[in-house]
Amino acid sequence: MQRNIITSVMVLVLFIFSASAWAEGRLVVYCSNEAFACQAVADAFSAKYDVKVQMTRAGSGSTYAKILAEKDNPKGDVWYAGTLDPHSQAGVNGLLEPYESPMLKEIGEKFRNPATSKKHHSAGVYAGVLGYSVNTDLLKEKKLPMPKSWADLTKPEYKGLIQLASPQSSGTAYTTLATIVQLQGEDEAFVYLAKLHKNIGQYTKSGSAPGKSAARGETLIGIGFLHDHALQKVNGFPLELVVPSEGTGYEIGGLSIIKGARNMDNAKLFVDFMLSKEGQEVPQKVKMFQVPTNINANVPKEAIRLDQVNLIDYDFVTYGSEEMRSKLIDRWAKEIKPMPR
Amino acid sequence: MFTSNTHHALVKTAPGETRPLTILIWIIAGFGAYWFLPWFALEYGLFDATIEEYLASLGWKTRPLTLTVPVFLALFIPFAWPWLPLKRLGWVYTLFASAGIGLIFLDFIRTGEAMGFSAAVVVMALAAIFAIGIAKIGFQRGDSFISGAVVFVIFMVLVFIFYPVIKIFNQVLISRDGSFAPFQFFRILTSFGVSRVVFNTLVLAISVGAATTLFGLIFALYAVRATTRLRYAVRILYILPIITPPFVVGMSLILLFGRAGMVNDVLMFLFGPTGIFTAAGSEGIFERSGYIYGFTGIFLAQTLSLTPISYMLLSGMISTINPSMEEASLTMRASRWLTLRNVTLPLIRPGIANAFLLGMISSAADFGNPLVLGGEYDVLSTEIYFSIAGAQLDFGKASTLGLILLFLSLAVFMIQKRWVGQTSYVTVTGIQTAGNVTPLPKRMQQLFTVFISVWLVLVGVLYFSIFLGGFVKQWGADYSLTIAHHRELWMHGFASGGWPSLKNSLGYSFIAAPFTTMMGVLIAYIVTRKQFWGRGVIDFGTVLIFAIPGTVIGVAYILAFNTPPVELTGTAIILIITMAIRAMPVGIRGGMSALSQISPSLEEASLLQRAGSAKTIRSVLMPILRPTIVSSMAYSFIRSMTTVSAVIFLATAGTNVATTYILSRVESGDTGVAVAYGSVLIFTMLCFTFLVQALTGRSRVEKQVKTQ
Repeated sequence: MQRNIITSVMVLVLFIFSASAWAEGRLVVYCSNEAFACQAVADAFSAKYDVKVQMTRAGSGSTYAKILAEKDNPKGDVWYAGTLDPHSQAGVNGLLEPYESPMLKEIGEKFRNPATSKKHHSAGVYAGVLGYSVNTDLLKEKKLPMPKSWADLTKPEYKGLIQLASPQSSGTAYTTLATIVQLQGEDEAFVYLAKLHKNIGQYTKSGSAPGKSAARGETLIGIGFLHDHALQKVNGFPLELVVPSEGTGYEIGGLSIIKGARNMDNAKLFVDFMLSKEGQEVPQKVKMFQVPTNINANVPKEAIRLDQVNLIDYDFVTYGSEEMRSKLIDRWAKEIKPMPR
Repeated sequence: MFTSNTHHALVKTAPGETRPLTILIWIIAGFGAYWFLPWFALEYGLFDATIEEYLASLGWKTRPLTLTVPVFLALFIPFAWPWLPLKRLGWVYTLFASAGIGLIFLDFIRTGEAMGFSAAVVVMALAAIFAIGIAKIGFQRGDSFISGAVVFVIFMVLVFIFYPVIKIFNQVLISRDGSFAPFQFFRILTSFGVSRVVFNTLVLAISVGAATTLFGLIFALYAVRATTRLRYAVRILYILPIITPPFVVGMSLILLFGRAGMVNDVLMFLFGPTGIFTAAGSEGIFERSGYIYGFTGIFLAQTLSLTPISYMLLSGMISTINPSMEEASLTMRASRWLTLRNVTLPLIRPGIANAFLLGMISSAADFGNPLVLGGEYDVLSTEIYFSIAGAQLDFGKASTLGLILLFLSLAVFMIQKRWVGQTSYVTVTGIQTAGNVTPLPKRMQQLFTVFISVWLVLVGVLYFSIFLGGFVKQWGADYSLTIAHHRELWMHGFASGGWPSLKNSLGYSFIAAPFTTMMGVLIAYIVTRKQFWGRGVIDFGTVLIFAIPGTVIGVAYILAFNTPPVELTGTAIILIITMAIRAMPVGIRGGMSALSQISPSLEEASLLQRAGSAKTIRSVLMPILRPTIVSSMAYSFIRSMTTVSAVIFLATAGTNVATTYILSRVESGDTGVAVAYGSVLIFTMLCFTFLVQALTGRSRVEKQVKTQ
């Protein structure tokens, strides 16, 4: 009896060991996109190249923190998605591996080398337009006009009806802050933000929360990246997406290889895959409506196309730097946040 | 020379003394580990590694220098037979073993590699030999089991408590760009917003402490003294909030009172602009708003979650008051109210103080509720989290705030120990002494009945909404019933959805529970029964274990265990250890209170008859301690399943646990799925509690928490 148990345990152990020897290789992906999009991308890559993918999903801020904490002993191989600024910071701080993918020739000009360091630390893997969405049912109920610009949001009739994330915890909100600053100049921007502050019902922690709140009717207007809101609209919620008329900013999704990656070859393969037409069309299949940066890829009709809207020339280099981020976020925390509403 | 010492090997060994065989076993274990287990840490863990990776990590294959290890171990073999005088032998063991451990650590630090399983086993073997050595020198009167226990406990406390806390201190002194900044602590302390956060935390802690004490008192008096049937409901239902992950209560409050909450819907229906009670044309007296977010919400959630604990503390005290005092008062014609106020309450004053302080610490350390309900009311625990996971990473700020929270917690704990320390370990088994229990004053009982009924209804509605919420398509917008959430979680195969995290939670808690209990009872034993050098270390270590808030442990462990030589982040081991440490206070306190009831003469009798310490503990103490051990394991399991603040930083994709999974879904706004999962967790814990109760005949959780 005992001998049988020992034998079967040994066989089991051997089996476990050999099972893992079957995969072609592995890859550890740190993903900062929505969970379902991350899973779809991981599955697609894993299936196509027979690579065992281990994927962690966390916000771009958390992921940057993790990569920084692990810098002497990196556990991740590649960082996919998440707004570009933390990628830029990671590049400047020497945490990323430069890589010029052969796929870059298919990528739009301004997405090839967008990060601050300009050393091909990161590539742009998607773009998303900043804007806000309005719950049309609630709008009708309250008999209010549809806002069309940034300036409209400061009108007194929208008091308490707007949600925006807090720049202290959300990259989305920081991009909003930086956009307003680039539209109006820094001091005027803070005058605007003070006025907007009076209409804010709540500053949320997560960047995609305002859109979801607007969809559910918990707030009238949610400011954020419109691809998140497009998903809600496709799911049947009564939302209207608004691109502010004065011009608006956009985010670039980053794609970077971590310095010292243990699976460097697979990491480069992943970057090539995600920059290709095939890779960029994967998120669309799961209703992730970010705009692909590959010029040959299909742009989903629900996505807001970059060439159809009035975009500002968002300066990723300046506004992605650590000093500028700290300066603006601290100023916001000091001047705007404590103000009464 | 023919001294009695050289005949040592021929003389039967004294009780507690190590047989040569024991030492040989340790040497063989070290040997075997070296040859078969990986010396260097495997990148992907034991079960995920390929054959090549495994072979590459064996010491003798890749690093010839490590062959010195088996040679070194072999040197001990001749010393296993005690042919040297006893004391000299002890010194040999001690010095060589400590040299060995030191060299291994130094080598790993020098090369920057991480220690693997075999390195750990070899270090353990050397530590055992070290312990045997100091026992022979005379530590603990030659009792090597106890000295081994002491060495083990000190080692665990040093590595898993002191080392991480020191790392936090270290981090405070290093600024964002890596340079030494000794005054950074003060700069951050006086920087904008920090004082507000500290103030917020204190205000919340004090109010929650006061509220839970008051309500806990009401419940306790009612449950013990009331004459209505309702008191049985209290005695059964109090357990619900304890087995619920803390922030699930917060989420259910949002479901009910949030902007899109059910209660708001009802109020809008009745009193809103188009409500049925509103006069035509007027605006109505009710408008949707986020009143639940912020102080109100957190206060409510924490009070609901923490009152049961203060209830258990106080009901234990009340049921052990000698009724004759109150009887005397009543026979002297004092009214029931006067008796209550002047006799009963003063008698339980230490318990009230204890409950208040406990409520304060729990509130300050709570992370889940402020995260979910905080809105813009920032408290220390959430600020620490966002210093790491927010928009701008700042380890210096996280560490500074963590230290503030730790000091706060330690201060309260010290007050508790000094002021009410005596009553912490009193037996509270609910033994009724002779005499009639004085019922409550009539008016008071009526008032309490109303209050408690409202409370129970509220709790009932909350839990109902949690279970219902899992089946509702989109709470607040679309109330159609659906099993889509549960399907997403449970029906896509065992490798996706909620299964991996649930399996991990169950597995880790299951492994952590016996470990916690063993360590807790061991610590309790050596602290209550033994005097030794190094006791201060353990004492202070246990104080830290009791006082340290979860987020602080999380940050400390990231800082301490993310780099070699002890690299544990990303593994299951660190989660198990974190859970064990979080639940250990209960094991220690339970062990201490149980041991203080047992007379030492029992052990002395056993030792007199030449049974060693190990056998004494095994055959004499364990059977008596069995109820304590069972309750401690049960409570540790529950605590580990519902912990969130410590593990939020440590859980990764491969080691995700239920609570962090739920939290990540909440953060993404998928409330339906989050609540569905939460309800399944609660259901699991309920089943577990009933199982334990059925097997042991009583709700063991109750006994453990009372002694907290």
